[in-house]
Amino acid sequence: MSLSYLTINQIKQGFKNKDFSCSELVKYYLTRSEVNQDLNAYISLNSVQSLKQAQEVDKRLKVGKKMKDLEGIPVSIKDVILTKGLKTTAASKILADYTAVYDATLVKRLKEAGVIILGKTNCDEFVMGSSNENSAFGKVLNPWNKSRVPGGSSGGSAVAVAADLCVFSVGTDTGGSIRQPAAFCGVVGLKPTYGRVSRYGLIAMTSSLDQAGPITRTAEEATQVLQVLAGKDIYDSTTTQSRVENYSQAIKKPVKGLKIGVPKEYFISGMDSEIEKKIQEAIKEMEKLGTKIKTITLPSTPFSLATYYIILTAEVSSNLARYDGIRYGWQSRVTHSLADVYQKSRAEGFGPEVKRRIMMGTYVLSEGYKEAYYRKALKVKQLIKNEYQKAFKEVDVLITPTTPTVAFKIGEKFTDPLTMYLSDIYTVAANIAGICGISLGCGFSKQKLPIGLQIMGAPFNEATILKLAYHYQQHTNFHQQHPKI
Amino acid sequence: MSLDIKQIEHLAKLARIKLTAEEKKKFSQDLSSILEYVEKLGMVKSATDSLSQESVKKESQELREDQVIGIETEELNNLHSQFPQKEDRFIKAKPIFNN
Repeated sequence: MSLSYLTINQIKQGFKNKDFSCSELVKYYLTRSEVNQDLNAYISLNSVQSLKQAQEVDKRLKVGKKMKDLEGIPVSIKDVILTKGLKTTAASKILADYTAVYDATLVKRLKEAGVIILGKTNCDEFVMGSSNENSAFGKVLNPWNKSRVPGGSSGGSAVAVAADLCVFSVGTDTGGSIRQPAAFCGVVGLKPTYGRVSRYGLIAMTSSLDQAGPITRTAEEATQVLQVLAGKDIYDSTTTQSRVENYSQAIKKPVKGLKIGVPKEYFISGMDSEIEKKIQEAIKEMEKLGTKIKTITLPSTPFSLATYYIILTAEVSSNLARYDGIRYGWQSRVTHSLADVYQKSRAEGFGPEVKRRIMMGTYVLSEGYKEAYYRKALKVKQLIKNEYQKAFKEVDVLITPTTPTVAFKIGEKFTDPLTMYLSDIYTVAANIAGICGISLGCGFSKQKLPIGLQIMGAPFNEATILKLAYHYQQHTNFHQQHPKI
Repeated sequence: MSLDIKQIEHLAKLARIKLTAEEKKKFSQDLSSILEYVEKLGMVKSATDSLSQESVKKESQELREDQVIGIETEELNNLHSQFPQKEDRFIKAKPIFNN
């Protein structure tokens, strides 16, 4: 039986029918990851441990033990999420030799559900980037076209899923870092509502916006993974008590009558015509499913990105102050005083984008500018939040493109940070407004590069966006097309 | 708003990052263009005037009870093993004052 591109349910069925063993499956992914090393999706592979764990699963299967929800499912984890005993580098030189001493809550939950962690995926350094070119461990290639970027910051995760180097991956999204690479690689990426999934054990970039979520090949699998990740955690005071519903049941309910809002600010003149065409086709497809389409307006949308880059850099400058070369991480070799250790360790350990953002954040928080930049940004954030809240009184979900372009060429935007930042223009609002969003493939460009559709939903309404994504995938086959590598 | 090399040097000092001359030049250009972009927020002045600082809602947070939970030897050893410079169980650091 072919092991390629299996879903979670197919694997569970395969185990049950004894079509293949868990060891065979783990070997398949490990071999495929090694053969496709040029993609650079993984920073480290956990081969020995994975195979050992697979043997345990096989033993349990043999004696007919009851399987846990995700038992024996081989997955990957973005390398900014702590995994006890495994290297966790944040794709930075400053943490290149850092081994996590505890598991992030989400990792603990995945382990309890029985997953096998195949390895840690590449990403932009400290999740800062939209192309995965900022990794100290080298850039990641897009499997659809190796001269293109996979998007970022969860680029390695999106590539690992698109190229079938694991069943699913868990990434993080601060301004689009799950959804944008998912769009560029033609897979599904879900950013849950802030507070839905615990951030305990995530290496923090922007604590008020960071959120972890699944990258999968189907909406149904995103649902299954979210079910495990979601919920209150006493170690993250921002996780909410709000009930985690049975997502798998919820997504099967009909979408008829669902009100879809199309915000006109996301369809501006001069946008990529291929993307616009595919999004319009997707909207028509959804209309066929019995949904109602309505054009709406979110006038503050053009300010999301500026708001985002002020809040983000401010928090970066504070969050990354901890990397000083004293307790862990890279320490400069030739130093004379304590101040020297700080300045040189940070100079040698951080890459250019990280330095740029720390500098920018230091500026917007400095005396005399804090009011004009940081406080102002917090106010505009509230304004944007209010607008989205109002929109969700009129409609159930919002539909937009995930990205303004398809995957761009490696190097194309690397030297111009502002142009790079604009890649996140359609995704940042969901983080600023504190809502949830999902990206899924809705077609391909003439050059056979994936195009992503974004569905956004009201806070803690993941079930609704997953439901629409699930029904859309039931009627289309874009998610069944895979890159030839 | 544009930032000159002197301002960049001041920020680098505050951020505790030693920059090369080349980096200073590049960051002066980059930060100036990013600042120019984010300054568009000035355009939403009238809309945010109606929002007082108080209306910028604080996220509600529920704090857990503060408890001493202790630490296991293995965990402690793992933490110690990450120290870049150490003597026994202590972190070794350079002097704060250099004569």
